[in-house]
Amino acid sequence: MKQKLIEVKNLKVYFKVKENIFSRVKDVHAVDDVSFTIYKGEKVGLVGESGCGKTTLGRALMGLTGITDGKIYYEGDDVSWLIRKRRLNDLYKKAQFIFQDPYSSLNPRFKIFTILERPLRNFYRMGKEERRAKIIKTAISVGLDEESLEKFPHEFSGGQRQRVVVARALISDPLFLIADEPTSSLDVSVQAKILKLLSDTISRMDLSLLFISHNLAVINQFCDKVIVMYLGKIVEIAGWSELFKNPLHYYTQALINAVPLKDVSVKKIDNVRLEGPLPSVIDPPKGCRLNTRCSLATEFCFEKEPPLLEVKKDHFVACHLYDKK
Amino acid sequence: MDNKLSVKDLNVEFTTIKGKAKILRDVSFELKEHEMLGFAGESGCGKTMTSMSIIRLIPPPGKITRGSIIFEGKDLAQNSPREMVDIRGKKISIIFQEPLTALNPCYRVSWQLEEILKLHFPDMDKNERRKRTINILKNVGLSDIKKVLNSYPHQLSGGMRQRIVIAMAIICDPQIMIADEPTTALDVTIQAEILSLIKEIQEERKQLSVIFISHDINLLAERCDRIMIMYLGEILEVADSDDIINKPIHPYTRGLIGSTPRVSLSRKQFDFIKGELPSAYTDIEGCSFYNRCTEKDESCRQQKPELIDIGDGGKQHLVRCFKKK
Repeated sequence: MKQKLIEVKNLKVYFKVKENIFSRVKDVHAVDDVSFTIYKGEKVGLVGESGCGKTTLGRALMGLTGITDGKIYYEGDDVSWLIRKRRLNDLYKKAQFIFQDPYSSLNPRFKIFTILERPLRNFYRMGKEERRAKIIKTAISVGLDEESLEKFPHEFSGGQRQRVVVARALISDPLFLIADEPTSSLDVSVQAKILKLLSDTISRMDLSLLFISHNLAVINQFCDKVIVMYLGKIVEIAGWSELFKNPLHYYTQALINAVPLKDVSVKKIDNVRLEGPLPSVIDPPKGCRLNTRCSLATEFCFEKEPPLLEVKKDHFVACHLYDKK
Repeated sequence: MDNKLSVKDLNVEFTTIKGKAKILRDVSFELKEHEMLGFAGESGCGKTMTSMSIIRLIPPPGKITRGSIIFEGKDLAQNSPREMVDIRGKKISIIFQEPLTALNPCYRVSWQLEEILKLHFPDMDKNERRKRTINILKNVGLSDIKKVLNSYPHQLSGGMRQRIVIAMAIICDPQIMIADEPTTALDVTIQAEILSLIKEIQEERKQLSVIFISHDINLLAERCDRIMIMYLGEILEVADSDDIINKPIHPYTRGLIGSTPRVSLSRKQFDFIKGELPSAYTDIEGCSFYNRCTEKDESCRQQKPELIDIGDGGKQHLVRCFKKK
């Protein structure tokens, strides 16, 4: 029996904006009524266009953005009140974040040693020697040598910096990692190295991972389960091979079609293309949110919002075409 | 078939306090009539610099130290800056990576498009200019042209901005269009649209040849006729795109293909190229890929391999490696 690590129930994150100084305050529905579960040891991919709320969802799980409504459970404990009360230290012990840009997420004034020491000081009572031993062990496990601990971030290349970021996330022995496009600012060959490092550490330390990316090819090679988001909603959840073999939602099909393919095992579905621009998240379309861009949309899609239903075992989709009732 | 552009033994050097950085080392290639040629490689391998030297926009202190770029019977490397003004934008145009920085934020789209016509066709009258601008915007697939013409760049979405940059590149019916990673700043779905737009434009204009720069080799393979693999300012392999993907010969090309994740139903371990890119300041005696190659031997270190044609059946397949089969 798989153990549940994280359970998200009806999570909503709204931002308040004013379009200009005279207009009313409006809500941006960045994440709107999202529910899913991550089991222990699972690598979950979160994919969608920019502006679909994937980063916000990741940040909300870490308490980096306030949540408007809904509940988040870590190992069965409700942590949403911790986020509301801003008592985040307890949360950070369980979950750690890997940021997109290794250039801006490391403090340029601190040596790598100090950067890696900080989480240990925050979460554990440890002696100096013990701390030092742990830092060296973690640094070596991500492929940094002992000398590099005395260097500053600017002395490293992008790939090396991302290793430091990974080391910082791992050093406090978390249960869960959230990686927000960790490789998008890196070169192809460096990207492969970092992905290899991440996948090795995750299987070694038995961690779970939420991997946020817009790159379907990376998600395809890396994740066990894939969540597809569109305009703040989850439209499809499935295992990776199931999703790429048998994508059900029109949006997922269009995403797969958009990837340059040279592989015959994944078939493109003809005539599936998204038309028009991404609608505004301030006034999302009524009914199904894809109805402005979906060529299969019927009248019903404009009226009622489709629920996320399990159509096959472990394959959820939110589309009226698969809703039998 | 005629060669539209032939680059021979091009060398570019940057003289800095640290010494001489060799950015391009004896780059020679031909761009054929009505061809789409892809440049692939890691960042820092000289793909952008090659295209920049073609339009003579190498940032100082970079200089072309040797070599020729023959276009329409003239050597662009010897041209004066004044002569280059007539060529840039009119005969050879470029699409930059980031559409927001390529457009001037202070002027409306209509002004920016018409400015090019004013410069290159001073005799054209106002109505004709407007007509041509509208036509070109229709060509790049924009609708609601009146509104687009009157907007400032910040009012448009990323995909629309990139379409306008493409419109600027083709408004003078150029002979050569250089696309320097035109889709890296864009979303996956929009990326696919922009790519098919570039391909469409190239197909309908018989005189147009395209140089397409990208670090994503799968993307190049889908759209380009030939692919050129660069490493440390050198050409390592040139072949038809099918041959590059299916029968790569150089170890670097194989490493690059292996490390690029692709959507597929079979999973493999992440391959990557070991080691780091050497600095451009180092003098290389033997093969430039020596320190990262897995199949090297003593002769690779001492002697520099030449670019040799090993293609059969009239097809060209150039490779710079002693180990070719």
